[in-house]
Amino acid sequence: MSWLRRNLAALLMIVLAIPALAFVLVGVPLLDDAGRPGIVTVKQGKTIEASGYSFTLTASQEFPGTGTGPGTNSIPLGTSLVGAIFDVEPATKPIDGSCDTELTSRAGGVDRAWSTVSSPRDFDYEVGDARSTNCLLDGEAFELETVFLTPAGTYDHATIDVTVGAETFRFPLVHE
Amino acid sequence: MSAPRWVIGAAIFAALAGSAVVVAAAPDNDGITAPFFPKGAVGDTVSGRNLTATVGSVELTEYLNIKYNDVGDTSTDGVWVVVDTVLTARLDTVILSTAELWIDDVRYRVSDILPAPTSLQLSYGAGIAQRGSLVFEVPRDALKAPGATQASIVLYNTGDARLDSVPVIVVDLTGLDISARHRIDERAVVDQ
Repeated sequence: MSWLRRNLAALLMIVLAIPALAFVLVGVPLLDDAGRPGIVTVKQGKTIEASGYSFTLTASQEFPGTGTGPGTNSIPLGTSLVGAIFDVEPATKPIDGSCDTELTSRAGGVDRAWSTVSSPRDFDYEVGDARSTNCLLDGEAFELETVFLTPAGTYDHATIDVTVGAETFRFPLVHE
Repeated sequence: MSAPRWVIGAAIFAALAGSAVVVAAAPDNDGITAPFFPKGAVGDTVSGRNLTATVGSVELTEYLNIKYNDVGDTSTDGVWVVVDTVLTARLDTVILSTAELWIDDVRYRVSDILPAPTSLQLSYGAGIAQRGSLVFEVPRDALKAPGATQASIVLYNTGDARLDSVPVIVVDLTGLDISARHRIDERAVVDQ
């Protein structure tokens, strides 16, 4: 009996097991990632559509802090308030729901994030009368005004992620 | 020519003994994934992956005199340990509701008695430092435990701390006066 015949079963096991192991270690995670919705990057001034609504970032601005107390803008030194306004309008077959916004930055190779300020008035920031700080999608058009508190200088490299359902859209901030 | 039997026997014994040492020295499952605990003392700035912490002072009191949201005095059958902190999230928002005070082997969870917004929530996001208080409610006897001289404020900042880094501030709780009241102000963003 040749060496090959004596070891055929073992060789067959190796031939089957190694690709199977590689699939489990590499293929399965890749397939998992492929099934996860990615982040869609939106170009400056462009409108996207999600859940039957269109979203357009119409304005954004940084308000550098001058400190707290008399004669200041009540924004702590070294921080900035970032405000952004979205036009949200029903488009085709709008679905009731909500959306979330988050300011994000990848400057310096580090992912960082900021949540909306729940009470902008604490920093003497007045939200526009006709605007809402909550993103409730109920079939009506509205202007969404979101406010974030960030370290100074964050604005230059930041984006706003808008998540509607399972989709996330990344809007660049407005730079004059 | 083959090796003498005693050499083979000794080699097998050595291999078994070596294996036994490796098995005995290997960490258990919890040890393999345990968090890292960078440590400091009062006044030090200690950083973990997503949290930088500085403890300015630790004080003991019978009543918390909460000066916001019309809460007023809050008593305890034991004693309040009030930890004045400056906390900064490094990457994202942070919730400290799982922070603990360790005295010997006993772990006391941070109290949620303070009304929102508190220092338990670093809700703005990365790089925004906030000054405020964390409070722990402990029995008076705990202050007499041998470990009270080296109590640890363990600033867990995620539900799953495995392989994460968690700042720890080591404090001496013995010899501190217990005040009748301690003023608690609302957390505040500090100048950067």
